[in-house]
Amino acid sequence: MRAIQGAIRVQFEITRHNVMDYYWMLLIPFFALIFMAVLVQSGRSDLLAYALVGPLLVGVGQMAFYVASEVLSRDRETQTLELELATPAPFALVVASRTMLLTSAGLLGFAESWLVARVVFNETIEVHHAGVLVASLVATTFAAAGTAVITSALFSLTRSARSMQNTVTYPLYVLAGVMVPAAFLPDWLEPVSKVIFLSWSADLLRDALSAESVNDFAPRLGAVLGLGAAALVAGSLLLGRMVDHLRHQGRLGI
Amino acid sequence: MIAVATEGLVRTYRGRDKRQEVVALDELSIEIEQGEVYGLLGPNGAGKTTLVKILSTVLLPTRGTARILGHDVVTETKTVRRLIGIVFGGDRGLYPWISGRHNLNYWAALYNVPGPIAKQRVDELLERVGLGDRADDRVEGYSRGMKQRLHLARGLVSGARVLFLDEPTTGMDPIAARDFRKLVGELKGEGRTILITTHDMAEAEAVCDRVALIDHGRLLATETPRGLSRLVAEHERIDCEDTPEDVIEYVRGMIGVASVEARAEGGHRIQMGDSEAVPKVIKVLAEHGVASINTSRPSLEEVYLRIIGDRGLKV
Repeated sequence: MRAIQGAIRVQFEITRHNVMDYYWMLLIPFFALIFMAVLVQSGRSDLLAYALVGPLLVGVGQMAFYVASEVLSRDRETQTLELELATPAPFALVVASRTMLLTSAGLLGFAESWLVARVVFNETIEVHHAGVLVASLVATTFAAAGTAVITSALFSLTRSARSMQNTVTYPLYVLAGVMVPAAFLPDWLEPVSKVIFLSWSADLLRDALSAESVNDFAPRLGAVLGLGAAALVAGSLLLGRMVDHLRHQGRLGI
Repeated sequence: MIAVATEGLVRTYRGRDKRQEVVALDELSIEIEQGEVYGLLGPNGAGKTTLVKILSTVLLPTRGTARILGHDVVTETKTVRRLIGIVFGGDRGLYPWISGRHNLNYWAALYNVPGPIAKQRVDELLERVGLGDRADDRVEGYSRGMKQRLHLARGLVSGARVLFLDEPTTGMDPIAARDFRKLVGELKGEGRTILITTHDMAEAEAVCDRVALIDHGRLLATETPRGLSRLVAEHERIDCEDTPEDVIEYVRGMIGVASVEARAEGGHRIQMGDSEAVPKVIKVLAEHGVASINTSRPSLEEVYLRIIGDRGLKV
């Protein structure tokens, strides 16, 4: 517990002093502006909630793939990595706590997008199912943090994995139905969407902002949490491999 | 009780071309008593840091065993990690964007030091290393010496019983280095065991109970600081200029003179084999009107070469 506390606190302090860590959050209102402008101009203000969910999840995703994924690379640069490994704290838990804090910063995208709708378009996006919204946001943050543990380890092990940041993230958002619901995509893409936690998150968040009742909430939330847990386990195994490699070879990188 | 023990420790790496095997530690066996300050002295690449990494559990040995307070570093990793503290030299191992206090708080948490104890310990350590006034400033604004002192505090924050200090005074100014030596004395007084690696012979002499000379991963000798001084003194040399050839021949035959060689830059170097003969040689040179006489002690590397030559790589 002390290790989790310490990890979150130190990451908070590091991020507080690194303006570039907020970079993506500064872009979120502009994403929201584009999506919402299209809907408002086409007379579909009723779909503004869709335009809120998109930038929100892009914010969480970018914090996970671009900021939280750099946690280990940054520790390598400061040469704190080996010292962390020499402590009795479970390393995967420390990394996961730190990625969790960073991905949770992506939730600011909700407030940013909501304010864009209110201030720029004079529209109020209502939250019809607050419980569903909160639970979905927490589960999404957890799943994003788990995914960031994988990418963080990958970026430390091999430089080529870094190309994933640029080539995979945006297609991932499209496949996950972050921009438009996955149901609007060709049927054959559906199996792909289902294994991406963001697709379940996006549907749940849209339902939380819709006046209609939310069906199958628990299993859908379970899907987000399950995929997040699977990512966390995979990330922990990868971290274990990274540590083994370091202890055997005396250096990181494969 | 033995605090640190290695037996036949071997560590090899694959070289850059993957085919060549580089031996970093070669059958290294040492024993450090609890409460002892043990210096590991050697040039860069001697294997000092490799040994510290193995003892710190971040590197696995290729062969052999290493134990900390009886616990094996390979099979009882978690227990060992609770017992040790590590300090690297220079400004490595700190987050520059946050304050010294936040850095220490983080490490205290990773060592599972309970909150109230951690707070008190961090305050005490910051005062102890002279950073109390700058505790809440960001580390990137610290001087190199301040970062090193913070790093030292970092290594102590766990309350470790065994400390590994890897070239901790590298780049420290003389006053900070003196304070550091005083601190090592205090830590020894608290019963902690300290393994300190350095290539500064004066530092080793000042703080260590015993000093081991290491090169190419092999232990060359283990001496008390007094023994080390004697070792160096034995290899003292005298440089002289404009010395008549008959005087050189006379000196060459004196007891305690190991060799006399002409120097490329002019003059001769008289290599001593016994420090007690030095005044006698100087007296002879002065009596024969040699005006330019300089005595000097060899560098550590030169002593190594002597030891290797004298002992044929045997401890």
